[in-house]
Amino acid sequence: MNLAWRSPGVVSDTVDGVTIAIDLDNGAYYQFSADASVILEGLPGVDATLLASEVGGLSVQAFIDQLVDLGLLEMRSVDADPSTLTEFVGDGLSFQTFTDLAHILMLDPIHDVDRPMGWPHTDGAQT
Amino acid sequence: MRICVSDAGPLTPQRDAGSRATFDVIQTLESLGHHVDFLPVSEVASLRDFDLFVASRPGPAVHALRLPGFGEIPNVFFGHDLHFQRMGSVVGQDKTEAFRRMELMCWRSYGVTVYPSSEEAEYVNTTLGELRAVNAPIFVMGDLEAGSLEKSDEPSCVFVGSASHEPNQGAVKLLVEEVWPQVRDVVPAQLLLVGEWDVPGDLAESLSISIHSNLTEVELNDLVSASWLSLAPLPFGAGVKRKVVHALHCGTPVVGSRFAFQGIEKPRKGVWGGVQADDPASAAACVVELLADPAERAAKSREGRAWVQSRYSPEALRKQWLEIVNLAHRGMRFDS
Repeated sequence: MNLAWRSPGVVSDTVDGVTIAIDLDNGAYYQFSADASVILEGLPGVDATLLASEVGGLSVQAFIDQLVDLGLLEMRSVDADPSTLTEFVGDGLSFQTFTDLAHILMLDPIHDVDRPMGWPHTDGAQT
Repeated sequence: MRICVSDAGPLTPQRDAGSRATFDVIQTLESLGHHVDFLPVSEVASLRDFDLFVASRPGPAVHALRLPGFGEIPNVFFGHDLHFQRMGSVVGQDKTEAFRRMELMCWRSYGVTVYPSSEEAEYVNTTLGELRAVNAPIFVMGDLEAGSLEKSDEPSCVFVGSASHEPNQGAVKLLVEEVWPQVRDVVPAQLLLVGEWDVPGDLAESLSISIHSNLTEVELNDLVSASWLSLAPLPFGAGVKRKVVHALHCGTPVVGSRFAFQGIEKPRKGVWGGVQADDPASAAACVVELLADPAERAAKSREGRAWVQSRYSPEALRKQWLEIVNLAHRGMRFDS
């Protein structure tokens, strides 16, 4: 068993050292700090030494636990070759989240709109 | 070949340009001899029964990433436009960047990405550092099925656009409050607004503005064809605009902003079949000038129709999508 993005509910991508993840079940979008992205880019699996370390004063294990609690990560049977990179840029283990972005994402941007407000303002969308 | 085309929900080609574009692609693929199933992305159980998957727009494209069989068959991301480029003024920088990264995920995840303009495709290829995106006409401009291309006896201009689309709202506000009063100071022309617009009665009467809603396709063709000019002072937006391409196809020159003419620029200077004017005063001046110059209108009409015929004919779309299907099956490994 290895730590991995929850499948099939979460899709992720890492570009230019920044990892994003989208929980397709609840529409939440996550954008991770560079330090967090170093760890997440190595999924599936997290190197044991890395897991036991701290980054910016925060335990990597505690950060991973937080992502598991959010439903982004899970333990499952999958081959792993985790990255052992430990070069951190120093921005800490953190993420930015938008809970309404996937709502906008799934809208038809042409006609699912509130007429006075225009796109992408719709009922329930907090933009 | 069995092809699955997927979007967020049922297509409403009579109501919006985006649905119409997807509908045109489906018809084009069918005309190439393929069997096409259209399914909202939430109703796709598996892609393994298909030979090719086409995801329309970024939302459905992201959701499709988790479908069983994704990545096992060739796939195409039909982006319509760079959505993040038209979100900036609405949702702020952070969310725009988030949306850009989601679109970036689509470009990276799909074998072929398709956008209407070469500029959009080039942006994707430059961003990725490899050739993954191509441009293809987003609309089909076939037989107008109109009675004639005769222009009305009296000078008239038309604006076409859904009242629920924010750039159109801004355009009509500019038109009614700034551009059209300046035109009317010089020329007793009529302005026809196509869509569910609400203009106060006294203002509409004083500026000779009429509203035309719920037109059939033939009625719209006739109305645009009869107009002397089409106006598109869009204050923002991204991608090729169907209203502009359609007006050119109808032989009606367009006066519009740089957003209206995206993808319709000439290689060096100017735009095909119209005049670009980015502020109300210059737009009004261009309209007045063109309304008074039948020879220039006729020249731009011919130019616009020829350009549309070369890019947006059913044959042009078939040729391009034949190549896109081939590219998808080759894994988009092309050298130039």
